[in-house]
Amino acid sequence: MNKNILTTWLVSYLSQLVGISEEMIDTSKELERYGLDSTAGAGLIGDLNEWLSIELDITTIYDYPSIDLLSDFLVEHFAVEA
Amino acid sequence: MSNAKPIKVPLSLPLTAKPKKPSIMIVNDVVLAKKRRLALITLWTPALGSLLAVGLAFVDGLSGLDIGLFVLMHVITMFGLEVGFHRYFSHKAFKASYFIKVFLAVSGTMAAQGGIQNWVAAHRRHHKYSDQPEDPHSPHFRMEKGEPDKLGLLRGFWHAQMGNLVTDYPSNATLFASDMLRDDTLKKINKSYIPIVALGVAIPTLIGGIATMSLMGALTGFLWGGLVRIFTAQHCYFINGSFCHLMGSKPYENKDNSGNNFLFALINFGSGWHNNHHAFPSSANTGLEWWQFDPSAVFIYVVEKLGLISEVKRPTRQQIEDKKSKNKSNNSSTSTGVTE
Repeated sequence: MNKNILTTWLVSYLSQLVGISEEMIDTSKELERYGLDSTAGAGLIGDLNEWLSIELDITTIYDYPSIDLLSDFLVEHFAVEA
Repeated sequence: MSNAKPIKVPLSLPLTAKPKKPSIMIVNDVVLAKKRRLALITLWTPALGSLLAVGLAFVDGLSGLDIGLFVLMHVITMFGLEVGFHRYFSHKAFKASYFIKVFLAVSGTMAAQGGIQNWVAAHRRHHKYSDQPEDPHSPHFRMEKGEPDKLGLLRGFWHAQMGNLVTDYPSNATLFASDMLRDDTLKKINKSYIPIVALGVAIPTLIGGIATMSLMGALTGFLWGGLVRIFTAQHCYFINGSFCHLMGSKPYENKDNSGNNFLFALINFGSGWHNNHHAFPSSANTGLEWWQFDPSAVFIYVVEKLGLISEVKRPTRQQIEDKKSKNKSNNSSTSTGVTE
């Protein structure tokens, strides 16, 4: 899976959610630094699951708390169907 | 699935997909179950504690100390909610010094109505969708499983007063109140929700125990300054969502059912001038006429004079009159419109 696509999606998602521009988002920073709380974290995993048709547990966000860590995890565990 | 297994799972990725708009509620049953559990504990523990306190008072009488602890803690908590969580944090009605900010955040948290971020988020959502289905605590509508549901009087009252806390999906706190967690101090206070609620209960317990040098004194201090006070602050405050959107005078046309009511304003420290509040949400005063007594405006006036807060927002007389006359002209145009 292409990490760029995931990162772009996550940056765009976070930008809409917290109302700051995409350029302001540092993908290595913890999502919590942008005001993402645990309920919205669960919401993010839910929307990500829907987008990719996967079933991640909502606690995934605690184990991979930044955009980089989360997309690395996804790249490692999922492959795009050819 | 197990996160630990490094087995690649195939999936089809829509390459052009853009995330959809963030939803205003977190529709997730695990999150809802957590919220429900916490809400049931925070609503029922104070209610049962209050029953016990009243029962004990019938047997043993009620001491002046316990009344004092109750009043002191109730007043601190209500100012924390109304001046702090509501006017300052949700609506930014003034700028505060660090000390006042921490004091208001901590005393509001002691009310056990949720952490500051969730509280502020639900409140801002309430303003954005006041008395529409997306309102988190309207007595007229609720959003059940994504479908609007019109509520009758009794169900509506129950839902707005308490039910919403137990039955409804939580607001997307990040969407409405990410500013609360971007502030390091508020983030710490938000995370320390349970310890701060416990502190609010421990203070009257300790004072009661030490002042009387007895376990019974600690117990009644715990009950009156702790649980009874949480119970009264909850229900005094929740009438904002219920009664204040069911009755009262409406000098301003707000596109919702918010009404003004003297009695409710006394009970909820000024927020009962609810029609005024929805007309001027970021005003530091909800009482806009000389006779509209607003306890929180007095608090704000005093700390402003002490130099602890600044840039206090209050509408001018002109703005108030303009909004009222706009209301009148709207009314006359709609009344002529009826004949059509």
